[in-house]
Amino acid sequence: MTDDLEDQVRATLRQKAAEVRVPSGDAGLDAIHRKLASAPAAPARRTRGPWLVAAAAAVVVAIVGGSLVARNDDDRDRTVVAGGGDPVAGGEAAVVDAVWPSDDPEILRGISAAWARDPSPLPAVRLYLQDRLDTTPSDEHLVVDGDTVTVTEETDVVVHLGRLDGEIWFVERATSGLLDVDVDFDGERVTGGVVPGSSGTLEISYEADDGGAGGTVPAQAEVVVPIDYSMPASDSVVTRVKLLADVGTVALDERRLAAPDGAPVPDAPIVDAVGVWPKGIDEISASDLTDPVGTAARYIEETVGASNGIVLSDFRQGDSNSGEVEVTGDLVATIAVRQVGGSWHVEAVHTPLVEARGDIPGELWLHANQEGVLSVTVLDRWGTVVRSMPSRRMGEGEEVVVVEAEPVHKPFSVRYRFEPSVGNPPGIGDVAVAGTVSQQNTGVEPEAHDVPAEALYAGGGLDPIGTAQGYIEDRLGFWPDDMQLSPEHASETIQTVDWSGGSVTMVRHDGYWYVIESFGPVVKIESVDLPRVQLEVGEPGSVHVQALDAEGNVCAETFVDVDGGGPLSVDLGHIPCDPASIVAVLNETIAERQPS
Amino acid sequence: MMAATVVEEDGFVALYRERYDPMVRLAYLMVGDRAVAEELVQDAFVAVHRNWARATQPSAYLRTAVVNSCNSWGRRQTLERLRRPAPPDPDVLVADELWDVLETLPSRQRAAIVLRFYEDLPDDQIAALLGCRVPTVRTAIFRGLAKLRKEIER
Repeated sequence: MTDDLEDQVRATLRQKAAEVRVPSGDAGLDAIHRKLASAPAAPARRTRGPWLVAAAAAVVVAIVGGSLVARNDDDRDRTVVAGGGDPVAGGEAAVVDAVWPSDDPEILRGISAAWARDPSPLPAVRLYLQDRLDTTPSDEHLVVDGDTVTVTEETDVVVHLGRLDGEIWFVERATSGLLDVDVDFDGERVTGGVVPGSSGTLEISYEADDGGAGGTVPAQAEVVVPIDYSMPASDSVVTRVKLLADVGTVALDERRLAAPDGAPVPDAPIVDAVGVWPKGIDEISASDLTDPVGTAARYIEETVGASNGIVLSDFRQGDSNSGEVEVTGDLVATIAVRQVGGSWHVEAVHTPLVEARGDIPGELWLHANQEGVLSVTVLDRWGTVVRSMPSRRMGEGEEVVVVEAEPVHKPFSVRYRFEPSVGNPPGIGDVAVAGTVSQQNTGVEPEAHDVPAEALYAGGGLDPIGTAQGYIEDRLGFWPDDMQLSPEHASETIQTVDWSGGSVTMVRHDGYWYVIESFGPVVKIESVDLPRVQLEVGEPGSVHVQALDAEGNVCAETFVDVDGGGPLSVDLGHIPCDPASIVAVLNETIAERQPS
Repeated sequence: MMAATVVEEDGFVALYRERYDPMVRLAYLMVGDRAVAEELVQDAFVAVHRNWARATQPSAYLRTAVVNSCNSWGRRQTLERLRRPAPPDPDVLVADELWDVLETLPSRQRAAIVLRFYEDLPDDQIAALLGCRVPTVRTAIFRGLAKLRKEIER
């Protein structure tokens, strides 16, 4: 079967490739020469589609294209020098495409320390790692391959180097397989993310012409973290993203990024802390927001989609610059709108089905006024989804904390939809919360009471699926949305939930569900005889085994790369705690059990 | 020394004639759009041209630039799709099932599968091109094939 599929894939790819009709002759070569001739000035592009290609080109040329590269932004009075030190394009200042120790060729040439001209890159790399990560790996943990040096222990970094004048070392960039740093599609931000299984803390800093800044944000696998700075105002920015992974690994990505020309700029007001719509990515013209009811209608159209069956009331004036529009019919909501500078925007949206409470700055609770299903999305001011909570069933009177006060950095908003079980049509809400955002705390908060001894995870919940989702998010860093109750293992006191990554079994204690066992289809804990753990694995990948204490802290762990399935014996070595559970993670599946 | 002055134009043109079409096809398999594929490949050639003096293996350099630019483009497309989910076209799904499913794979899985089954590259070379470890390549291919199998057996 596998061979058949591989043959099908091979045949499909070859067929598709053969169908590509590349224009004959030198049309492509002419296009390349036109691009070369038109550089450094990149053509201004105002539409999003073509700009994507321009952005890709700018990043590729700046990041991938070797250590000394002319970027597509040379009309910004910045010229990158080639290996011999001569400018490759006109401009006022000549710089090296370096992130360390300097981008000034004269400063580099003035370095007299031995490491700068050492035949080996290792002394320079050791200094760089000491400077950036406060670590000095020994030579045996540094692998040199041409212009790159890979750190092989504790730190996940590949350092890419260049040599000015063919002799002076500098660091062009640092990359990590755990991190994914990129220019966002709107061209005004850099985004950072971590690969699955590598949740932790991102330390972000950057050095821009308008001053350096940064921050520390929690990192979740596959959640894009916006790294805001004024790209258009800076011709080139050194961006440094350091991941302090929960598992103890440190990863670093550092690179110089240039803002492409022609990033689209919305002419409608972008709502910040004072409202919820339009946001940065909404391509709304100010001419669409000249009246309050039209603005409310456009909001419905943009956020809900079809407006058939939805009735908007006349505008109900509040103060001189604000008021409300009532939504009835197939949707229940009140849209509060405000006028600023001649344009209207949506300040907030409320539904009587759900009460939003944010008594503490940065915190938001949603309280269900009747039984139903709640879906929540947390958006930053640009409209990037920084958190989503798909389809949670809530009982009447039940509350859920969507975000909990935790100082991070930017205003955000919470957009939700509530589908009542009976009676009313769905209600929508959109609430701005200024100042902080949490991407972590989303589970139902149980009242304080005893956690059963057999629980693997102290977070109990009223709903078994929600409890299992919270458990997986805590352990794996993402929110699984394909969980369903297993009909074969269901009772008043025990419930199993199946999902694409395995099964989670829970017991009910004082009305709350607690996880007591988890196993995945490709990783299973057969036995535990500490410090040895016997596993059965079913696919290639990197198996991550941890010993957790009763509070969920990691007290010992190891990684083992496996090329195939079968039994696997893992030695956790010294375990400086009395472990409450053993966790094995392979790719995106998890097995966990208490030591016997 | 200016990169442009040391470019051996004949060598660059020879590289173009030998590799332009194959690279457009490779990029097409990774991005699924011929116009975008050509644009990305042309940009990769621009990068090679500028670094001709330093590129000891221009052909390998070119392929790395193409793969990276396709991955970068793919990540952006993923972000856009997350924000603006497009409904699937049922007619297209029926017409070319495997290709359609391939287009839904995450960019790294898709790149790994294309490099393995179209370019016939060994795992270590794929890992070097994608900037990841060999087990990660194997995992990406395994999971990509698993998704393809699951979808076409539906």
